[in-house]
This record gives sequence, structure tokens and C-alpha cells, in this order.
Amino acid sequence: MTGPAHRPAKGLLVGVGEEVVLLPLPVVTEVMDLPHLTLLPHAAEHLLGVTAVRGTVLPVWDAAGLLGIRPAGPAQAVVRLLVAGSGLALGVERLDGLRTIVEEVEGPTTWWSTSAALLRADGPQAAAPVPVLDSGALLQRVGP
Amino acid sequence: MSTDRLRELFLGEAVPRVQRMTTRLLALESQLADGDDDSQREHLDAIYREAHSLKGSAAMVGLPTIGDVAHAMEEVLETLVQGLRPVSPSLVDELLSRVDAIQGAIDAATTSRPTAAEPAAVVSPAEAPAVLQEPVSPAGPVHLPVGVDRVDEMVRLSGVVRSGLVRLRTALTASGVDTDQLPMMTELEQTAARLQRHATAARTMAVGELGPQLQRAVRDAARARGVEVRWTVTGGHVEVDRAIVDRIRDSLVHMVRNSVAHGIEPPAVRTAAGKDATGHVRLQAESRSGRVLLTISDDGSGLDREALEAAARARGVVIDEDRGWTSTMFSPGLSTATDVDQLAGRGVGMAVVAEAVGACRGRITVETTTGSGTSITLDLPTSLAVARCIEVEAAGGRYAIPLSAVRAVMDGRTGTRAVEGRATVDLEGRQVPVLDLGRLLDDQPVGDGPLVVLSTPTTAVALRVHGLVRHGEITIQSTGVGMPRNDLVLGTSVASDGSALVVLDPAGLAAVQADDDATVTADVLQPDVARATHVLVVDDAVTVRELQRTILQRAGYRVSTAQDGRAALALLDGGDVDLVVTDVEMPRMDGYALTESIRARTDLSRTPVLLLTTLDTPAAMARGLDAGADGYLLKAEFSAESFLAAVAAQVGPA
Repeated sequence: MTGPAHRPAKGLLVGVGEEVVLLPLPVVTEVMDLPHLTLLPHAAEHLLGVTAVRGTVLPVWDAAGLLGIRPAGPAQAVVRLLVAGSGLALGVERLDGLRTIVEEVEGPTTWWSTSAALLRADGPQAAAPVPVLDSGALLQRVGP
Repeated sequence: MSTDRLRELFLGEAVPRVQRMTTRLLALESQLADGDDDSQREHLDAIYREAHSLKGSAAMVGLPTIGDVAHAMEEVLETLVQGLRPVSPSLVDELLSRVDAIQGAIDAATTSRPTAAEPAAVVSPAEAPAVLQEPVSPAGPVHLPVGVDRVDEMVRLSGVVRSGLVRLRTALTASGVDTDQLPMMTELEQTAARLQRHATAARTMAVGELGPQLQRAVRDAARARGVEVRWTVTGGHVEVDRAIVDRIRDSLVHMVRNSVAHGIEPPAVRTAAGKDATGHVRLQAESRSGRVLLTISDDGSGLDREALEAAARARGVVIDEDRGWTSTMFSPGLSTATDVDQLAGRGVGMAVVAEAVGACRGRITVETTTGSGTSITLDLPTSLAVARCIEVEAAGGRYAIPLSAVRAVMDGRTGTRAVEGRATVDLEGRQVPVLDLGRLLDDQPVGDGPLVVLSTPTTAVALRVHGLVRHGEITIQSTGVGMPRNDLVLGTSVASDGSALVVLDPAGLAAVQADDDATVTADVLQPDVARATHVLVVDDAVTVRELQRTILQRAGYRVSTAQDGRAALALLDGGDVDLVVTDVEMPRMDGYALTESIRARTDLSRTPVLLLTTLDTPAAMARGLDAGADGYLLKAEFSAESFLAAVAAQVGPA
């Protein structure tokens, strides 16, 4: 099932468990190796810990947990997003480069259809469509 | 504080209230077609609370017309909340017009200029004043309206600068530079320290600054009620975070008005009761263990329990027995007032108080005595911004604990002993439970690391950590962008090594320990005693529980303990208790009630129960045996031999 075509945009491919997820590049502000994380007592579900970046303390969330994907190993990198003025740092297992989003498709029969934060998928020009992160929906999951 | 200053404070609060009302009204309007009643009700309640707060404060700072419009809004909103008429676009228009009128009056008071619009044109003449411009005094000193978030950012950045300078000095020293020979370095550090002090000072204020506003509220309420009231403030010098004050200011106003409206009796009644004809309402501030306790007390009639419980029943509010009957006064919509006026009766005030105090991670306690008065204490953190802390390590991370709560630091390799199967340390003769920070973080105990003994107003806990790092002033950031609220975390900061620093909340840690204590402390089963006869010891005194445990375990029994009847029943649900030995006088559920509960349950009715008590009257003994106890032992005659004999008589030797 193909949705309406839209203007091509780029996204960052990240590995989460056995899956690959596309993060729209306009919301990606920074990528870094996983820094040391300080754990929190009674931490919220999927909150890996906090880290300090240039004088600001950031909570780092487990992308696999938030997206409902079984992790293959510990997070290795952090991707910082800026969504609707709010920052969000995601721990991911791999960085797999950039990819152009050609068009959106729905993926009702695929695994990502069960994740509220993966509502869209990128076009069928590749061998298999890749789910695109719905950053707004993800932000709502970790929001107050 | 001058009336001008009070008015300025009010106007600073009123603007965001008006903005929030506007936002809610627009959201309400956009949802009219959806028919989502819950959502509409939420918006209406929120608007109602804002109007209610505006009304109360406006009258006190000499801006009565704003209060009148807000009051008129309340009347309309009340009919909507009660479902007496549906929300319609025209009603939203009307409410928005009233919000505009309030905003116009605020603008006029702020700029000392007449409102641009003609308010009377948008507000029903019958319900609103013809002229909404408030009388204002000549312009005073210029104040910049700076939001708390901006001050927070200044405090945070000054902390980042100081932290960076510490790391810079460390790095230079490591490179072989004699930093003591760099006067510019020292100058920068001193300047950064001053900057931080000034930024922090912008956030704090003395509690005494609240006095005039509250005094005015007391005065107006007393006049409205026809009573005489004296107002006093003690501990006015105590400093508290301005951000906290901003959140609870309205709450304090509600509380003093309630003290007058519900507490202070008419002069004739007071005189007849032998009291001074003039009532007394006071604010007492006290700094204790890193917290600020603000108490509003009066010498009035005390809370009317019957009236409060009747009001609770009428509204279907269930009385929380653990928190006591006084907690019902914080239920939304609950009021014991028979008439509704601008002073009391809508049941909004105390619910708002509970909400505001909770938002500050505070707690409320109520003490009341019939005929003598009521004290309501808000237990609040001192500051949300800066604190002197001890920095510790655990689970590979850095953590800070406010020094104001630290009573002692102990060598963790010695001095602990097991009480009821849990590690404790002795603090001035008191056994303080040990809480392992490593276990709390990642379930990995930190071993025999040092113990940081924390004391809160209500309890104490010894926090076992991996190591101590340093102590010093910490700039506490709010819990961070996207950080969910956490009752154990006050905020975050940057550690001396540049890593993230998590500032722990001593009160939260103590609460974790208290929660653990409140649950049944089941014995740690050893393989050789797993099948032994199981005795449940119930007593609210830890010493008595420990004594019985020691005697019984030495004799080979398996022992569990509980601190009251209710906790004991929870453990009995496990189903393998062979004997219950219980005290009689205990909180929450006494020994008689526990025995009766056991006898009433088919699965437990044959479990023997021994009462062990100080009550040595025939009536008390008869009461116990009537409840179904199998034996009645007196603590005054207690000995290990007689106790074991009584136990063995019920369940045989271990």
C-alpha cells in the first residue's frame, strides 16, 4: 500500500536490535559515541541514565525499549534529536549512514506497525522499506 | 512590604494566569464538537481554579474590580461544571471577553494607563463593573519581569562556569603549571563565585516577605467574618527558594483565610470559652534538615470532624484511614461551609493547596484539637537551585547529597549490626537502617563502603555508597530536559570531573526506607530452618520484636515480624504461619482486632494466637480471650523460659 509521494528528504539510519530505523535528518542535532551514563534510582522505564554534554545534563533513553524492539546488545551511540523545541537523546546500537526518503508507505503487516513511534515507512525503491521514526510520537512517550 | 510591592507581585502572577485561562478556553472551544466530556471538565476545572485564585488575591492588593470579574467568571463556570447548562460557543465567547477584561485591567494597573478597550462593552453591565481600570499609585522603581526559567538558566550557567574552572585548574596542575602563580585564575574563580551567589540570591527570599500579604488576607477575612484576629510571624528570616514561594503563595493565602473563616470564633464565643476575645493566627517558619517547615496555626475551634466527615460522605469521598480523617479536607470540592461567598464555601482552596505543595515535592501535616485550634505544616525543600553537598560514588556514577541532611559519615566496615534481618548502624543510641545505594541503582550492592547517615524531619537512613569524593557547593539544575519526575532525585548537576551528577533527595531516600519498614519484614530463610515451625511476632516496638526473634531463633523456630496488625495480616496471606504472638496496643490495627480477623478467616481460624502485652487488668485479659486468643502473656512477667514454654504449649518445640 503506497501513500502519497512527498518531497525527498534525508534520514539517518540507526540499528536497533535486528532492525534498522530511519531518523529524519532535520530533527537530528548531534551524534556521539555512547558516553558514560550515570544511573538513576527508581528510573523511568527505558531511561538508560544521564550524561553531561557541555555543561548540560541529558537523560538518555533506550531506543529499542521505546520502540518495542528486542535489543541485540547494549547501546553504542547516542543520537540527539530536537523535536518541537524539546531535546531527546536516544541510545542506539549502530549508526548505518544516511538514506534518502523518497516516499512514504504504510506498513500494516510489518513489525513496526505495532509501535506508536514508527508510523511511517520510507519508499519501496530499496529492497525493503525502512521504518521512519515518528519523532513527535516518540517525544510523547517520554514526555511528562 | 508596601501595597505597591504586593500589587506588583500580584500582577506578575496574574498575567500567566490569564494566559492559561485563554489557552484553556481556546482548547475548550476547539473540542466542543468532539463532545469529550472528561476533557471539557478538565478545562473547566482548570479555568475555575485560575479564576478562584485571581479573585482571592486581587481583592487583597487593592484591585477589587479584577476580583469581581473573576468572581463573575466563577459563577458562570460553576453552572457549567455542574452541568446546569451546556458549554456553547457563545459562553466561551463570554468567558473570553471576561478574560480580556481582566487582562485589560491588569495592563492598566501595570502601565498606569487607561485600558484601550471599553470593558463594559464586553461584560454584562449587571455582572461587571462599568470601569475596569484599577486605581494605581504613582510609578515606583522599575522592575524587570524576569521569569524563573531565566533565573534558573543564569544559576545553571554560573555553576557551569565554576565547574569548568575547577576542571581547568586541575588540568593545568596536571600539566605541571603552578596555578597558584596565576592570579588571573584566582580572580576568575572569585568572580564566578560572586556571579553564582548573585544569581542564586535572585531566587531566594526571606519567608518574612510573605508576611504583609498574608496579614492583609487575615485582616480582610476577619473583617468579613466580624471577628478579631492578631497576626504574627516567627522565623521570618528563614530563606526559601522564590520559585517555591511562587508556587505556594496562593496556598498560604487560602490557608490563612481558612484559619479565620473556619477557625476563629466570634469574640463572645471565645470569651465564654475562656479564651482571649481576639483570635491568633500565625505563620511560623523553621529550617530543619535541609527542609523548610511553614506552619499556619490558629487558636480557634479546631477542625469539625463530624462536619468534615459528613461533607466527605455527601461527596462520596472515602476517608483514608492511613492518612487520617483530616486528610479529607484536601479533597476537591469538599467544604464544610454552609454558605458560598468570596471567603469560603466552594471547596476549592485546600485541594489547590495539596496540589501546589505536591508540585514542590512537599508534604502537608495537620494537627487539630477541638477547642484549641489547628496547625497545618507545609514541609518543603529549601531550594531548588543551590546546595552544599557531599559527592559520592556508586554503580560507576557520581551522586550528590545535600549536606544539610547529613548527620554523620561512618566507616562501613565496622559498626553495623543486623536487626530483624536488616543491617543497621547506631546513631546516638538509635538504630538507623542501612540503604545500599548500589542495590538501589542496579541491584548490585556496593559491599562495605562508607555510610552516609541522613536525617530528615521524620526519620533517618544510612546510605551505603562505594566511596566519598568531595564536598562543596552544587548548582542543582532542574531534573533536566525530558527527565521524568523522580521522587528520589532533586535534580542534576555537573560533577567535578565533568560527568553528570545526580543530586539525591534525602527525604525520598528516607521514604524508600520507610516503605520497606512498613511492609512485613519476613525473615531471610536459611535452608536449615525453612521447614521449622514458623512464628509470626507482631509488635510496634522494634526492641520487643528483636528480643522475641532472638529467643525464638535460638530455640530453632523460624520467625517473621510485623509492626502492627495490618502488616501481620498481609504476611498471614502467605499461609505458612504456625503461631502468632502479638502485642495488643499497636497503630493501625491492634492485637484484639488482629485476633478477631484471624478467627474470622476460615483459612486461619485454627492458627493459635498468643497475646503478649503490658495490659494486666482482668478486663483487658477477658477482652483478649473473647477475641479468640489462645493465651495471654504479660510483658512484666516475661522471661525467655516462660515465653518458650508458652510457645511450645501451642505448637510444640521447634
